[in-house]
Amino acid sequence: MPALSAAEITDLIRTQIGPGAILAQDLSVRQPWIEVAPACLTPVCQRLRDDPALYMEMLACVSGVDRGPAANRLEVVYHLASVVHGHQLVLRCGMHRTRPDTPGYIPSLPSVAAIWRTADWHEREIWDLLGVRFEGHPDLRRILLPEDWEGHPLRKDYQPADTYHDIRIAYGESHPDAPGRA
Amino acid sequence: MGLLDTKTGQGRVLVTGLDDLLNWARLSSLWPMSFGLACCAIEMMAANASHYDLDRLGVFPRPSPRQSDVMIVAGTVTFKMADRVRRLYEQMAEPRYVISMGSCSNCGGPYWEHGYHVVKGVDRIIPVDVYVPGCPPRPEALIGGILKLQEKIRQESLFTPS
Repeated sequence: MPALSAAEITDLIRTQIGPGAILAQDLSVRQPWIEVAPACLTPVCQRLRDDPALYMEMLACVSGVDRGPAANRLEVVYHLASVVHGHQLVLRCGMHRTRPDTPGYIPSLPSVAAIWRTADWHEREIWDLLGVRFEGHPDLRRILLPEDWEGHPLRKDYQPADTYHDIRIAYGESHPDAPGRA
Repeated sequence: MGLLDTKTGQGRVLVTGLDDLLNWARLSSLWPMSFGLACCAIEMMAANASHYDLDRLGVFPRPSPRQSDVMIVAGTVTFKMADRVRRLYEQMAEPRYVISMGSCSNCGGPYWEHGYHVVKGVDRIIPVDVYVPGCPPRPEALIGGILKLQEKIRQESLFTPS
């Protein structure tokens, strides 16, 4: 089967999942992208993965993006490719960074680890560094930082702690009781 | 005439200080803990391999801290790794030495400002004997650090100062 253009793929999603599934798009760029409504992420991904005409069997990368406190927006970007057909598509999915009206709000998206196993570690990394919780992930632990680390360091407003296990984090004068030169 | 005849002169007897003998033995077989943390470890491995051949100085990596005399901290020490580095150091038998290899291990290196995850110098967690500058240091620089440590050991005494 031939490679589909991004416009053809987008039309397929609109007709099969619904017109509300796609919130925004730019198909004129080198890597065409569509923004998917978070509620539709799982059916869209399942369709992209399973439809014989689409068959996006490769999830090349999952990235997290923090747009900062002013925009109050976090994004997750999925780079998809079909090795069989030779076409590509980028999905974006956004959510609020904070919600003052909701106590204990944690930004979250549905996990796609059940659709592409690749997403398992990628989603753990985004949770670790940006604090996006992926609902339905099989094992959402930190992957890079130590288990007892506090905070998500790639958030734009992240403030490092003073110490970790009694080791001073900042450059400059070390603890007076640090071992130093032997 | 055999080799040792020229070294010892007559009588096959050598008079020396016990400190000198022990130090000569210790500095001639500095066995490092074999582990590496980042790109510095590649240079360390190059120094160990046949081209630079650290074995000619008696430097021969050991797979256990129990058998090691010196820890070469070769690379970026993250906070996650810091606990492990400290534990490995504590498992080494005394007398033990530490060579801090490269900018990361010396002071945090390129991560000094924004490296929320990097210990700004391994001397914040374990005592360091020799610092080797470089990013990463070439094998010649590491060998220089080992020779420096040998000089330090040569000056030591294992006896109570009198």
